[in-house]
Amino acid sequence: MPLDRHARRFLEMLAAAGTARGRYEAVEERRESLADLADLVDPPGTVPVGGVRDHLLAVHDGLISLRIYSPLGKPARLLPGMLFFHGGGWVAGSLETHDGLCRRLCNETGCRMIAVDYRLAPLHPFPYGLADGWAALNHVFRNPRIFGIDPARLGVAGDGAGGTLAAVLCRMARDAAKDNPDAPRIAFQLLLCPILDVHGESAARRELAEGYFLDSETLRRDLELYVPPDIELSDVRLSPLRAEEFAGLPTAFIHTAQFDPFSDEGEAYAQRLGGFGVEVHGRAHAGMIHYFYCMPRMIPYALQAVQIIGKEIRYAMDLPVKDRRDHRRIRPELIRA
Amino acid sequence: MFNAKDRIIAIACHLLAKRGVRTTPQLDANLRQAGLTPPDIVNLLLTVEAEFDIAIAQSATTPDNLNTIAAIESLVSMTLKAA
Repeated sequence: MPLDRHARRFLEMLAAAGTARGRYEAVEERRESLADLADLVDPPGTVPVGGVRDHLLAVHDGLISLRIYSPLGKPARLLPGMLFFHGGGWVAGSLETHDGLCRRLCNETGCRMIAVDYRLAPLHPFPYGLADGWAALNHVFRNPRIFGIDPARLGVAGDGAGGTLAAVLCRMARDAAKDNPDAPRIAFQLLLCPILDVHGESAARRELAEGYFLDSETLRRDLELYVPPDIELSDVRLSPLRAEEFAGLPTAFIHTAQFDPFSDEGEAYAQRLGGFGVEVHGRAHAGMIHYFYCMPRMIPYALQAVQIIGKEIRYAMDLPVKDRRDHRRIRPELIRA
Repeated sequence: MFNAKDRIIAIACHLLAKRGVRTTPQLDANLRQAGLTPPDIVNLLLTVEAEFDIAIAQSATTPDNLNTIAAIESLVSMTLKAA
């Protein structure tokens, strides 16, 4: 399928407006660029939800914020929970840039969303973000009543670089449970256009290296800032696709985009998980680009995609679905089944 | 009744104000240099389309057609005439 016409128009408008592409120097430039873009494609604070509140968490050497979203309506006191990690190449992105997505996911999935404002490189390079994520996971799992969640139905989610963090946290939780029965348990992982192999050697990485929203030079610069020189890129905490075994990982919902440089690694990850007996659902969204799910103002299909994801999660978490007939029609399907 | 130029300037001023810029851009001033970011310019274009109830042709979305108020006004006039 060709590039979606809305996505194509968006890319052409951005290019005509003079968006900087490729390598950047100052990280502030990268952050402002993503923040400006988010204001354009999905202004924060505009989607109504049942409630939003912030929670501070003490972590190693500092504090981070957790933003808790409750769905519209009259939800039960304890809901399934979803810990969310925003994308932005580990150097950019914020609670604000992904606020619209979190609000829609909250309403559509019926989960209580807990977005993690993990610390970013270069001031906080690898593994700070991961450590913040692990601290947040443990804190939420051990204090379910504070967050209004059912700890038996706690999932992790992330997009782009946040997807890496979510996938790696699943491995960490699984491994921790081998020695510690009190380790946090993760019920599911939702990965949206995740980065799963930072080597960037796939066909999609090569063929979509420029002109599809996220250029390879930008990604290279992100990695320079995020990964200390003594860390191998094949470290499974950076490239979980490079792991040798995947057994015992939680049910995965993996959504890729046809014109995303990370699409191959997302689909390879789904196949690897499935090969080790992990239940995998998701879709390869035809005609779409990276970050499309955050761009409803520019790419209307974004809303439909989040609805599809919402129904998948509701189905898995045994939550009511508004339209049973529609629910059956879009029953989760194996990615590239 | 404002003319097309004034309506486009009003939209640009609104976007510039969000950036803390309070001056009105000259017709031929480069909008990037005036203080708009690339996403602001895309936003300007989308708002102009809604304001005039038009859809600017994809082929007309070029850097030269988006860099000044005068160029955007010209684009709007051409699109309105073609409708």
